[in-house]
Amino acid sequence: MSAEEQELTKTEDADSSSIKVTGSTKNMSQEDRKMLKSIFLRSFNIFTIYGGGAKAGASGFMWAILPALNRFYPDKEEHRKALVRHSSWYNITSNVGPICMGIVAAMERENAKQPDFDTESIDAVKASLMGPMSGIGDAIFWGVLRVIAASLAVSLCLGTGSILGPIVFLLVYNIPSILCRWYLTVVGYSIGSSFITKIYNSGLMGILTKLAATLGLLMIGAMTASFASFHTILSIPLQEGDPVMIQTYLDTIFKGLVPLLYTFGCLKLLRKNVNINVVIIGTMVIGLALGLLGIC
Amino acid sequence: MLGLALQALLAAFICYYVQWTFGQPMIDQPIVAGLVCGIVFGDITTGIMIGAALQVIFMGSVNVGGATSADPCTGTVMAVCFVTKLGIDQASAITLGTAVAIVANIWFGLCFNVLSSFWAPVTDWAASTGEEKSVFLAHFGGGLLFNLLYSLPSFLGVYLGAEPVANLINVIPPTVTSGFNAIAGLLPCVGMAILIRMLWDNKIAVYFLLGFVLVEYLGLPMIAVAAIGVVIIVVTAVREMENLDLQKKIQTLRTTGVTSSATSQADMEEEDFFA
Repeated sequence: MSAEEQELTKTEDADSSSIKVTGSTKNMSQEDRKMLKSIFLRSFNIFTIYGGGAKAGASGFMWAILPALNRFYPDKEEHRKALVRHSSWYNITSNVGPICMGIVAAMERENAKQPDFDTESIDAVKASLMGPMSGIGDAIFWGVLRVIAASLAVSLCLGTGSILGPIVFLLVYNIPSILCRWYLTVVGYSIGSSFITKIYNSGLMGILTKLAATLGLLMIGAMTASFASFHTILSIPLQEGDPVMIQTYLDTIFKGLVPLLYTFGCLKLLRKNVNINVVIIGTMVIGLALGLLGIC
Repeated sequence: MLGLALQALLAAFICYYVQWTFGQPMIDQPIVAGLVCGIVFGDITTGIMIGAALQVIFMGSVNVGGATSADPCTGTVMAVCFVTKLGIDQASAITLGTAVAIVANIWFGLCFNVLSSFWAPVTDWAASTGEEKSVFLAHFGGGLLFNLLYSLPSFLGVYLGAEPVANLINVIPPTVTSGFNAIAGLLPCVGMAILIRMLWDNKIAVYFLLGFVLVEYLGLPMIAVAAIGVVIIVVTAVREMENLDLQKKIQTLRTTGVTSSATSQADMEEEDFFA
């Protein structure tokens, strides 16, 4: 290793050690821990009411951030002002949102300490977190984890009705989801506001999204193969011997050819912004026609 | 029918209330809603079977960012109710449930995005008082009200629809039933297409084909495919991290050390050249 490279690794080490991201509450005070626990528990209630286009999760955010406000603002008027600040639109994927709550709690602590703290920066951080955090949260939790959980679960109980299915689904989805909630609350509080943009710019997020999508696509392929089905009863009658089943021919070309092509057909339509419901109803019409025409 | 409709209301309410109030544990997904309905209507096995079938169809239906595409929970409640209590066959029930899910979503979307906006003044009032108690009331009171509203289509659907459906099933010809079976087979394609659209990236699209072939030809169970997936992403992650590291080093070289060292290196090369 040349001197230059050594120099480089050194500066890099220094860089990464200057910012401490911790998911553990070991070095935190008793009060901090109590508050974070409370925020974590209340974060579950975030969308008890989804306030539509006007508020989304605003009241849930107020409810979740209250432990921090109660602690940092003993003065009633200050407390009230802070609460009003948080009554604006808020929407982040439920299980990822706690990182925002943690960060906001840390910022409210600063605000309570420093009289010249710019409270607008709290709103700005909240607003700037919503897009990226929801983007990655929706992709990972709704797009991938839920899909993997469902694919494992459905294969256990489709056609058999085994109770293992729903149980496996709930466990596979919720254990990571709950862990993520807790660690993000702590991480958010410990890093404050500055670090998040740094992570975002470092390219780590891009890698994470790509990995999630890779796993997701693999599982979707597997699910298409196991859950979608097409079986035609069409046959060509022969003068001698058994009739030739069209399905056998289809299977020789590529097993599961029709569901595969149908999936890509739907994808193409959806890409052209055809409404999902139109595609679903169209499928119903096609299926019914196949039955009536004696093809299936 | 009122008793049955109330059971449907209860099943739907449990699913919605737990889903929205306790951190979206995905209990309103058809596979779990099927279990809840099975318990309420007294036939767990059938409930789960129908839930699983509908889960596949509505796998791609997600309620994110306030956009709703379907209301599979209501569809599941009605399908399970009709199969267990009216005795219609499962393929028809699944088709019915799918249609219901689409229609019921009109109501769900209305409550979710429009009607709930009328709750905004209550939220603002709660904030302006600065009291924890009023925030609690506004938040959880509103939740109770709206989750009840979400459950209404299940109640009405069973209350008004049970009799016509019960009469209808006696006159369905077998070709229509096989049509329903074809629909049940093809609908998952739509669900998967919605999902693919969310995650599609030309560079990694081949993994879709890999998953398909692993199951279709090798007949691997889902858990095995998931394990293979983990291997793939670990390998990819390692490579991507190395890539990122390299990129960072190049960046740092460009911005800092590169000018001085490169000139010296170039000088050295020049000296070599002339030597």
